[in-house]
Amino acid sequence: MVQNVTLAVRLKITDNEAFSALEALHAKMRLEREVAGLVRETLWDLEVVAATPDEARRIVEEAIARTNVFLNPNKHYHAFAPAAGADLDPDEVAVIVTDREGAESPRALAAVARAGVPGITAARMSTRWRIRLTHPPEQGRPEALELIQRIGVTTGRDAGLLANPHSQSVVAVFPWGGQKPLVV
Amino acid sequence: MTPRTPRVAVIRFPGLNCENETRRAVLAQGVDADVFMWNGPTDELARYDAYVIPGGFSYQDRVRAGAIAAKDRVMDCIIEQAAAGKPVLGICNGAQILIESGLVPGLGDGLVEMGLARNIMPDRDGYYSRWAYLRVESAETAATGGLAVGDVVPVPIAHAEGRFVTTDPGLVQRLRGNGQIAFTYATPDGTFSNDFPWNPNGSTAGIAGISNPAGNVVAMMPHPERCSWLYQVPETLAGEWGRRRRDARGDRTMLIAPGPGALVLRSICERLFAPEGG
Repeated sequence: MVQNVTLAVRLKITDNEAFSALEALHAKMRLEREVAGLVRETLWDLEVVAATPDEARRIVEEAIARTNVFLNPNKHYHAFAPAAGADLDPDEVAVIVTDREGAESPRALAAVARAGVPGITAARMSTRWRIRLTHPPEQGRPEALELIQRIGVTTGRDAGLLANPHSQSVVAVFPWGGQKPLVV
Repeated sequence: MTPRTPRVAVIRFPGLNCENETRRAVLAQGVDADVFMWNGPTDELARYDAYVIPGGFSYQDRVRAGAIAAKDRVMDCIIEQAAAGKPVLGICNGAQILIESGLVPGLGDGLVEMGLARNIMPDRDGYYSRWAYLRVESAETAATGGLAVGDVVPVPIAHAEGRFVTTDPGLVQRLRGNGQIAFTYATPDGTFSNDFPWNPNGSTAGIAGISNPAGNVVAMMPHPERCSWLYQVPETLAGEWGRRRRDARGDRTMLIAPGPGALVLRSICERLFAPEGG
């Protein structure tokens, strides 16, 4: 039975990439009043042949311990990501950015196979940007979605940063569990 | 009065690493060239006659190659000067910056209409470096004005994100119709090829370089500054340029003759000497 496991990986040290992205949002896109913080995570969507979700997570932990392909334990935290949005704070939204082509990682699968860890059959990488907003998003109101669109989807020099929609797909995730694909 | 020598600004964003060799290759075309810091005074930048954004890793490719540099203040000035008709060339990361800034293809008035996506290659991924053979598809752009359609220009590529893509299904056709596709990837004899390794990154329609509708702004992934002298061409290279390099073995005069990349940079610079100006 194939189990889907999502692994979230985050730097323990200062994330210069997130810092630069936040700086760009504040200084270049003038969103300092709207955006209070930004955290970047790498999401690994893994397909694991296992009898139960717990067994699948054990296999992934073994792969983490025996390879350095998913993370480096000296500088990364990792967690199994819960259902979309369940780990977001009330004032956070997230944008998940995935390359339309090339998100699969044959290199990761090869490394896992070389390490002798059986059962991981697919590995796909995305970036999750957790965006802390100055004003918590409200369910049912369009402002949060409009703001995420403005932050997430690059349609012009002054509009969008985190994804180029010509090469990447973008999904907005809300703290109440809602998800919405963003499009141009 | 002696005419002023045209001046070219080679923009240095933090993280770029090709500015000095690019400046040197531009200087060899008989113009003046300066490396201009991205945070320098834009009124001074505006006085240059042409602009080259070289390769490297602006802002360490954070978020996405070219994404942050495209939003820098210095790009306001370059966009303004491009609108005035001055030539702008983006090489590799410079091309990524031009795409992310919406300067090219430039059909949608500031819209970002394309992406330069991760290379797609059989049995490998990531950064890829090799010689590519460029076929000139339009002689109407600033980078190809001194060349003819069908000419073959071998130029090295070195990138991880060089695949021109778009979600607009009609865009490539419009670019072709407008003569905005400057270069495509080809075989050594100049036959268009979308197959790896001739198309080294899976680029849509084999595109290696495009221009804006006016032709004065060109974004190209290959590095002409890395083959601006014949000695930079390997003797093993297939085709006419490899033969020239082999013939030049041991002959210093021939070795310092212009290489294939000089043809691209010369095209840009010759515009600056044209009677009507840039």
